[in-house]
Amino acid sequence: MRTIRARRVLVLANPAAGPRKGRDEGGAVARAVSRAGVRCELERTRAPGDASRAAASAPAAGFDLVLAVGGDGTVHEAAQGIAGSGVALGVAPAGTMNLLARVLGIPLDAPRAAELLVLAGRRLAFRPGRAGERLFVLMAGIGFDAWVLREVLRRARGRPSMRHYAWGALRGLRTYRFPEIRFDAGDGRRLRATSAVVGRAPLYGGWLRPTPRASLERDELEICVFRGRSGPDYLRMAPSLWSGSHVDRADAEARIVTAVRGESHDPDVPVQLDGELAGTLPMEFGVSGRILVLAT
Amino acid sequence: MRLLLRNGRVLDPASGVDDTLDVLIEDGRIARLEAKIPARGAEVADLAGLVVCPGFLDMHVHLREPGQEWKETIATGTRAAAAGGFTGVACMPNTVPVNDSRSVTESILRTAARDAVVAVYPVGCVSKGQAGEELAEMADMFEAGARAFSDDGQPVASGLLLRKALEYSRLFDVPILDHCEDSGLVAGGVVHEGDVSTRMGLRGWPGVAEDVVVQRDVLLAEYTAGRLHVAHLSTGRSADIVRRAKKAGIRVTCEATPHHLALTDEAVSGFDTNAKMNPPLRPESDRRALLKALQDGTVDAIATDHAPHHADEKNVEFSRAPFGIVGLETAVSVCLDRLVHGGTIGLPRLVELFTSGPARILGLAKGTLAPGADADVTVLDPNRRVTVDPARFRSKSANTPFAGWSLRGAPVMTLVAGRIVHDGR
Repeated sequence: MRTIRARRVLVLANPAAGPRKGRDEGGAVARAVSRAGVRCELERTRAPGDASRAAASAPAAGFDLVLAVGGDGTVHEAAQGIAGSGVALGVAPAGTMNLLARVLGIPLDAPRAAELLVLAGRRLAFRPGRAGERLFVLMAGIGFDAWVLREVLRRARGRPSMRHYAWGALRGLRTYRFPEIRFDAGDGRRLRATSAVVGRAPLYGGWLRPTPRASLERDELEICVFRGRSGPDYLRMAPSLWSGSHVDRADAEARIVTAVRGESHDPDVPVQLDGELAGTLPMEFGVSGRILVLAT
Repeated sequence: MRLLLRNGRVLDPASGVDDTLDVLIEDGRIARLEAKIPARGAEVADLAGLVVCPGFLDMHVHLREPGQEWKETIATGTRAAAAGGFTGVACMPNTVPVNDSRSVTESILRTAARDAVVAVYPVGCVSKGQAGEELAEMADMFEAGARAFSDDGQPVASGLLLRKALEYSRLFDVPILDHCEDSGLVAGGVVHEGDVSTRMGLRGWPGVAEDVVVQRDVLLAEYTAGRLHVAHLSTGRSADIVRRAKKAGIRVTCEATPHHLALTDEAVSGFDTNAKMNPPLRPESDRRALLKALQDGTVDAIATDHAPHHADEKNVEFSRAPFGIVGLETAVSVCLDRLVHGGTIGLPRLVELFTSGPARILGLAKGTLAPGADADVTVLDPNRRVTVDPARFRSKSANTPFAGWSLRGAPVMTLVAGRIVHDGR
């Protein structure tokens, strides 16, 4: 892997991200980058779409590294703008889960991570997942988890916390209707499900492992479908997601795919990408041709 | 030719010397070792403040020649060794062709006589073609100069073959160096099986894949009374097995690498292929167990497993990158900094692990500064600050996870048979 040797860094901070909102993580990261002797500019996002737009303009503005200060949602947005440009995207973790930082082994301390990436970062080129026209870095969730996310966002004032998600999931187990979804991987075998996760990385929601064989290294996705028909069915399956043993259960199945199309008779099966809502089925999932260079 | 090494702290664990002494070298041998030796026409090197040790030996090196000269050659590998403080290296047989016959052993020694700046001790294959099926012509290779036998790069998978090798090698009392790995249990793993492999989505390689083979080998060593040497120990349980075997009087020795002593599997974070090696880096609990094994004498030698690979070979996806890192030019500094200054072991024990330890295993009359011995000498500056800069390596390859590390302690001068082959004072 080649080193980055950043000379000009755009620090893209999402002040609304993470459990420590209110702390000026963006400012702390910018100071850490300056201390490392590298020029940087700090831009704070104000609304959804800002991070994507700022990241998209970074290559033309002469930046050779964009540091997303925030969580996986911030990385998701920045990735939309920067993929295909060759400019590296680094994460200075300041979100709730920070899954990408965990996968990459980046310290969960934003200024320290920034300093490491600027001084000794390497370029990891990979092909992100694609869902319709959008890219995803970690995972796509279809059905239950996206529905929970949508409900939580609808009810919470401001950015929801882990507690909100936990309550939302419990509420969903009682009220979600679990409509049937069909997946077609184009190889003649169809998968029936009530929810699914399409993984580009092995971790999900902390330490859950619905797609343990997914890796940033492989130009493939792992799809894991769940066939439970009720809240209790899902509740019984949930513990096995920690160990990855759910794939041995009759009501779950995981497969490596290069592309898969999901559809449902129900017109309202929501989809989330990296924890961001992204519309409803039908949708095609695959591996993007746009290379995303991650700083690691 | 006479050379007088003056005012250094002479540290020779094999003969129990640790004192400020002068060392007089005459005709490539240690002539005298006394408090004040008059120069009387000898060339003088003032080594005040430095430590004068027997020449360091690295018993596990891949010189890649013949056949893979884009990675390393005997010329570049031995220059890297000299710069790293080593006066002799044992080179593993997984070259192209593999060193499984007298002609290849002789060819390596001929090239070494022409190109090498330090001593080269060939290790011959256990099996023909390193295929793990039929015993290689070990006696032939021994006569030609092979000092040990191994199928390194891969294990001796067949218990029957290992039994035969251990029995046959008793005829000339050389060790069988086994790379202990149960390939079935490894199952395509590329990093240690644990938290790191889980979160990175990389196939895991459990420590037990080493342990079961170490245990089998020890049982066979006991059964055959052959000499077994366990290469690059990486797990605490393997260290326990060796410890118990030694207590039981079984003829087993083992080595540990600087990287398994200094790094954990966290080093592969970010998919750094320069931290991909075989056996893989293990978690902190195993690293600590290896440190304990260094302290209590279970480990007999530190060896680098110097495994050069071209940057283009390493600059690929983690799963596809070859295993191995270079180590000759970082080993001594890493060990001085992490093990001696880190408080794990004292300097005499470290010197023993690099000198008399490997010399004993390989049956070499080396690893001592006693008068009459070959004047192979390594001079250390235990307090010199160095920063690892792969661009300055003498090795053809730069695949190291230690790039940029600031370390305290370095080899500063290397003499082989009384001749200075590296002088970085």
